[in-house]
Parts: sequence; structure tokens; C-alpha cells
Amino acid sequence: MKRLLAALAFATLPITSAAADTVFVGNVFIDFVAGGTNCTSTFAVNDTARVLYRPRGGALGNGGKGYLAYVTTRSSYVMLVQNNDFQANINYAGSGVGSKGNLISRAGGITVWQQNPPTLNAALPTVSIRGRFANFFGISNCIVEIRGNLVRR
Amino acid sequence: MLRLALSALALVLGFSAAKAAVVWQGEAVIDTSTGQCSAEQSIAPAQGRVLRTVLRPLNLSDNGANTTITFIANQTAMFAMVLDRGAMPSGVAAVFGHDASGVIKANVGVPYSNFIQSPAVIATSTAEATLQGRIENFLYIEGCTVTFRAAYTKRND
Repeated sequence: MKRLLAALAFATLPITSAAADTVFVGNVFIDFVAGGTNCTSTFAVNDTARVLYRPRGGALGNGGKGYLAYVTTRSSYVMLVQNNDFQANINYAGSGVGSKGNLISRAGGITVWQQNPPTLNAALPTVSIRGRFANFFGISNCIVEIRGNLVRR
Repeated sequence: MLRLALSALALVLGFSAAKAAVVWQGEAVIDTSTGQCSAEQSIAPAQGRVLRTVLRPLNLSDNGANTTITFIANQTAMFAMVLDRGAMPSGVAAVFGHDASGVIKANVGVPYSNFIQSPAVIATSTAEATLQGRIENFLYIEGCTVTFRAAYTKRND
């Protein structure tokens, strides 16, 4: 609509192209859930989802930002770690879309992180992860732990 | 792509009260797609592909003043279109979500056209709805233009 576009300054943003990045994809299960009603009514132990893991690293073709996306059949939540590896005792920036089309933007913390192998390269066939996240899906004090084996795409 | 600042949106920033929203959930079928759509093989929206979609119409319950339409491709990429004041048949949506690599996308301007929603005005009592239209740069793929048809059923939880 013209009203929307009036007097707005546009900034160009890069559109995704078929870059040679390194992404691992796989199924994860939820092993632990703790929090208020919003949390425990949304997530449960043994829930399953697809995860995309795009760790940071120039050698991976991924630049300085690491992403972990938790994707269900109708919602998704991405955790971004800038200029750092996914690890315990750091924060992430969360961004997502809930199952009712609600937009989510909230920071959270990583309290547990296990990765095998610990060092990644672009030729690895698989990587297994275990991570426990606070403020999961942007829900305050919602703690969820996931586990999965991911295959390089 | 264009970045848009949507007017007066209570968009983004903080966790919105999802439980009081009223939505319709369905599937969208891709009818046509341009050649550039095959650039992202894991989610390429080719003719006949089916995507999960959620329709959150404006001005119902806690839905807010805009219409949001989400598409999930292959449970891999999230493409949530926010239509300013539900503008149809055409406009430039602000799109949020992530691409096929999990890279966050926020407030990306995406042109759309020929959007026809039935019923044109959705009420909380509406049991079913349909939507069709044309979307450019679909799933953040440059030059990927698709047409689609979607059918929705009201979600009761």
C-alpha cells in the first residue's frame, strides 16, 4: 500500500542465494522441560522436531554467526550466537514464528552444550548435539533440552 | 530485498500473547513457479509442492491489526508474511522467519499480488477459508515467483 511505503527509507538486504555454506540437519528429541504453564503446555519430553545447525566458521563457509533452528510442522525458532561457538554459559538471540503466526524475538541462555565431534569441518558426515536452552521459543524461564544426530546436508 | 518499517506494529520484540490468537491452519499447493525457484534444492517450491500454512486474520481476538500468513517449506524454511492492515489483493509484505540454512530473516520486503481470500472478511465463527495469490522472492529465493492456492480449517485450541 502507498500508505505503508510513504516516506520510508529502504535498505537493501541480501536475499538468500545458493551459497556454499555448511549445514547439518536432523531429528531431535526433547529430553527435559521445566518452566511455567506456557512452557510445559507447549513442550513435553519425547517431542520431536527438525533441527538445522549452521555453526559459525569461515572454513565452513558460514561466517561469524552460528544458527540453530528448531522447526516443527507449523512453527520455528532460531537461536543465533554471534562471534562465538555454541557452548554452555553463553547467551543467544532468539527469533521465531509461533504456531499461531506470532512473531518472537527474545534473548536466552545456553546452559548445557555437548557436541561430538567438538571441532567441525566441512567434510564431516554427521555431528551429534545436546543442548539445554533457557527462554526457549521466547517463553520466559522455559528450559528445554534437546538431543539429536545431524547429517551434513 | 527491501526492508520495511511497518506502521505502528506491535510486531517483533518480545513474546506476543499467542494463546489468545485465532488462526486457520491449512496446506498450500504451488501452481506455478519460475525457474529461479530451483536454486534452493532442499525447499524448491516446484509446481505441485505442498506447504503447511497458517492464516492469522486481522482484527480478531488478539490477532492485531495486520494479517499474517506463514508458510513452512519441507519443515526447513519459515516464511511468515505480515500484510499491513491485511492489504489485498496486493502490496509489499514484511516477512520474518529463516531460510533453508537456518539463517534468520527479519522485516524483508516481499511483493505479493492477486491475493483473493474467501470469505473476504473472516470472523471467529468462520469454519473454513481459502486463499490464492502470487508471491515474489518466495522463501527468500531471489527471482522465485510462485502462484498458490491454499485451504484452511479453523484451529480450535
